[in-house]
Amino acid sequence: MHTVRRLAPTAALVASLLSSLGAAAADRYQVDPVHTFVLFRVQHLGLSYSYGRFTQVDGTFSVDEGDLAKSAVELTIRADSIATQDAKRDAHLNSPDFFNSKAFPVIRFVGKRFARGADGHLQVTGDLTLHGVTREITLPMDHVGEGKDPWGGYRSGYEGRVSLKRTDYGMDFMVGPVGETVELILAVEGIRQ
Amino acid sequence: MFLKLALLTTLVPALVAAAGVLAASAVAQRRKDAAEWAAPVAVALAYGAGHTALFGLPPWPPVEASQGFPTLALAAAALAVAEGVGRERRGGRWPLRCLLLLVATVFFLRPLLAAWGPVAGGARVAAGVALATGAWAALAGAGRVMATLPLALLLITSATSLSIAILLAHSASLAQLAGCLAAALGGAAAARLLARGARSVTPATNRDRGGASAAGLARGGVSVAAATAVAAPLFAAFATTAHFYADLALIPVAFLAGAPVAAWLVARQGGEWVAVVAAATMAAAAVTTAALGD
Repeated sequence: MHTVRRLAPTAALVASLLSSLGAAAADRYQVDPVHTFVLFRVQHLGLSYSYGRFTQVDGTFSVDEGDLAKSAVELTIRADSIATQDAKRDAHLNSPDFFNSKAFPVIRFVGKRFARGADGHLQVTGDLTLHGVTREITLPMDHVGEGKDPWGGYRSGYEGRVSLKRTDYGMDFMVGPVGETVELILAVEGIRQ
Repeated sequence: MFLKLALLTTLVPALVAAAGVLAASAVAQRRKDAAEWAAPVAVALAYGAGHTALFGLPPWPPVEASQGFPTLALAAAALAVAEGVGRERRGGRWPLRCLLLLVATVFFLRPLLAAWGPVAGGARVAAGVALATGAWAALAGAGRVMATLPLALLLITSATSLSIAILLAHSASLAQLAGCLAAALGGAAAARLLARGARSVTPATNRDRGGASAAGLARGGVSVAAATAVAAPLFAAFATTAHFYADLALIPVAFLAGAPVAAWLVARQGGEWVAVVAAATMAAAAVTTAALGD
């Protein structure tokens, strides 16, 4: 009986946490473009990595921890917002040699299935549309944290990494000098609506 | 790597075009109309071979504009064959040629048309088709009055300058494909010049048979001038794609389109080598303005 009394506050705390998680997870978050980063790296000549990022990201997400099937995510990235620290290279990346940004202005990811992996990662499977080609990928996402911000809002952040073969998306030009595998880092912060 | 790219870009299309023209020369001895359509077919197949050697078989339906270039080349060659073997229609050949250019332009620009809206999109398509038709008419006109060698130089200069201008506008893949076209035209011309019985004559009084040289028809040879039936729509496709998707500015595009017009206008006065110089000057201006615009 004594033990039960000692455990009661802990159980109540756990129940309260689980309940608040469930409630918070069902909330919808608007991506904060200022605190969201889509970074990538790709090998150059097989001897170093070149890094870049997309500066214009938009989207929404909601993660329902109680019922992951009710979760949703949609991210859109402006292809021509690519920035690699060199204007000429950016122009080349926007050309038909690579992203063909005028023909395919938007990169889009739409989540379809959510699952909790054995390692605790949130496995988000969805359709990635890039360069006019749509393929299913799985993003392993870490929940970095969530909480109140200093301006009265409530935020939640996730980060994930994934490797893609650009040739799977019809980007076949200069495979060799420019690596075929592109490693993506997706760091998303959302503001609860 | 770069040697392999250079070989794929130049050797494959040049050899295919040369083989096509040489084979057609033999056929043309028996079948006179082959003189008119053999070169377009050879150039279209050569361009397709070069395109495929560089980037593999394009998907169907094409996802990107450049993936539609081989289809356009084959469609233009099919039109040339139809023009070569068919009867002369009322109204001439230009309605179908304009239709080909219209369909190609709409296809190449379709990702942008929705954003432009019907008025701006329609105006751009109409302007593009008008410019392409003018350049095609000028090339066909030059083909009627220029001998094989200067005409071949005009075609190769136009395709090469197009390739360099596109390269300067940041698209190496489109530049390679334009290089393929230059090599295909060069291969066809070289084979025509080397073929037995070929002479560099000026067929000054030819009528327009798709740009085919009447002198070529008369002697049973393959007319390089007929290759303009494939070269002209491909030039237009490259210029349109490079302008709208690879930031090739309008001024170099205007110089590129003006090169055959200048050549035709000068060649009509009888100075076909001066015509080549005029076209080369326009081509140089296109490359220079493309470089300055970068």
